[in-house]
Amino acid sequence: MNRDEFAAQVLAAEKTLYHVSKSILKNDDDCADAVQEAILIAYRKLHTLRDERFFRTWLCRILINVCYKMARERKRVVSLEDYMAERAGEPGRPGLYEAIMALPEDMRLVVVLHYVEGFKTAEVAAVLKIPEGTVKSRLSRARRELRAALNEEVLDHAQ
Amino acid sequence: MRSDFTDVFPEVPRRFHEAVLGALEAAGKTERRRGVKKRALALVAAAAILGISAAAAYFGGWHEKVAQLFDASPAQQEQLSQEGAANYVGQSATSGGVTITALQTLGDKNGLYVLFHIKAPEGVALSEEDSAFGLDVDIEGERVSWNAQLLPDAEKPEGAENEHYLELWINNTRGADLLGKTITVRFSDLRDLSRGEGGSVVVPGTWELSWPLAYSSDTRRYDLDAAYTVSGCEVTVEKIELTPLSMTLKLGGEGLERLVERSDLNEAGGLCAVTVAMKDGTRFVEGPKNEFYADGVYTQIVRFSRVYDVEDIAAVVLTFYHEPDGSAVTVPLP
Repeated sequence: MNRDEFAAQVLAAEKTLYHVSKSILKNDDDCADAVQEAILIAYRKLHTLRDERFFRTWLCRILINVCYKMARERKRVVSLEDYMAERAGEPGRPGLYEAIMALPEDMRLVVVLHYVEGFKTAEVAAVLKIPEGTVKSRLSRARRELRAALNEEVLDHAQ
Repeated sequence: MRSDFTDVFPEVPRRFHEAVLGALEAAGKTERRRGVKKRALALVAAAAILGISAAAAYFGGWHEKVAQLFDASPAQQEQLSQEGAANYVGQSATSGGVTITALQTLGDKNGLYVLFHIKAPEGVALSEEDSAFGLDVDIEGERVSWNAQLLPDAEKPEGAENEHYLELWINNTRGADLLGKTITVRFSDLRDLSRGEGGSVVVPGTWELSWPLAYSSDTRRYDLDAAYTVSGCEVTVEKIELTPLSMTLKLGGEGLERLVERSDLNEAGGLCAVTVAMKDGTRFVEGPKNEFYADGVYTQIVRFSRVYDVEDIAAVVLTFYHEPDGSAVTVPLP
C-alpha cells in the first residue's frame, strides 16, 4: 500500500475513526488529537499490516490504544455526570445516541464497533484483544441496558 | 437491531476532518519515533538497578508468572502438577545476546499453553507494540494450529525493559494424541517494528527449542441429555466435559439448526457465549473458543483464561446472543 492508497483508506474510515474515538474520549478536541497520532503511528507501522483487507480493523486498534493512552495521561475523559450535564444543554430529546454514550465503556465500545460500524464479532474481538465470547456477552448485556434505558425514556416522555 | 443504529452518531466535525487531513499530510515526514535513544538509556539504568532474573522465579514447579496469569492458587498449582497438566520446561536458547527460555507448559487434551521469557541485551527495549520475532511451530514435523503474542507491557518483568514474556497457545481441537511427542518452536530475527519501513532487525538469529510434550488427559464428563427451549427452539445439552483448563460442550436437538441459521456461526463463528457459574455465586465469562456445527451436532471448545476447581463449578450458562431476547440457558452440573 503506497501513501495515496493509505490516505484513501484512512479517509474511507474517517467516520468509523470518529465514532470509535468519540466513544472513548467523548471530547471532540481529544478525538482530533487522538486520530492525528493514530494515523501517524499507522503510517509508520504500515509494513506490519499483513493483509490490507484488515486495514480498518488494524487502524481502529491503533486508535483505541492511542485513546486509552491519552485518557490515562490527560485524565480528560469526561465523567458520565459531566457528559450528561453537557448534553442536557443541547437541543433535541435524549435518544439512542445518549443511551449508547451512557453505557459502561466496555459495552459502549463493542456496541459502536459492532452495531454502528458493522464489525463482525470476531473482528471486534481482534480489535479489542478480548475473547469473542466476551464481545458477544457484552453485546447481549448492552442490548438489555439499551432497551431498558430507551423504555424508561419513553415512559418519561409519556408522563 | 443493527438498522436502528444508522446515523445514530453525530456527523464528523470539521475539526476532526481537518485533523485527519493534517495527519495524512504529515505522514511520511516523520518516519522514526522520537526519543528512542533516550528511552533506551533509561532502560539500561532500570535493568542494572533491578537485575532480577524472571526465569528463575519458580515455586513448586510453577513459574510465578503462569500462576499469576491463570490466577492459580497454591492448591490448584499442586493439583495440576500432580495430574501432569503443569510442566516445567526450563529450556533456553541464546544467540546474539538474546536468550529465550521456555518456562512452563499448562495443558490438557484440548490444547497447550506455553510461556516463554525473552531477555534481550541491555538497551534493547522489548514491547508488545514494537517487538516481533518470526515464529514457527511444529510437533514432530507436523504443522499445528497456534497463536502467539507478547503479553501486554503491563505484564513485563518489573523494571526490566529488555525482558518480556511471550505466550503460545497450541490448539488441539481434534483431540490428537500429543503425549510424549516433541514440539519444536523456532524463533527468528528480533525486529523493532518502529524503525522505518518494514521495521528493522535488531538482533538477527534463530532460537530453536524442543522438548517432549506432557499434559493431563483427565476430564470430568457429564452426559446430560438435558432439553431446553431457546426462543422457541428445542436444544439438547448432550454432553459437557470439563477440565481445570477447558470445556467441551456438545449440543443437539430438533431446534438447533434453526438457532444456528439465525446466528453468525458460519460467518463470524459464534452461536453462544459461555459463562462459568461457581457455587459461591461468582461468574466468569470465558473464552476464547472454537466452535463448529456438523451433522446436527454443535461443538464448542472453550479454553479457560483461569484455572478452575471443577468440583466448585455449579453451572454453565449459555447465552444465545443472536436471539432477540439474548436468551440464556443455565445448565446445572450434577
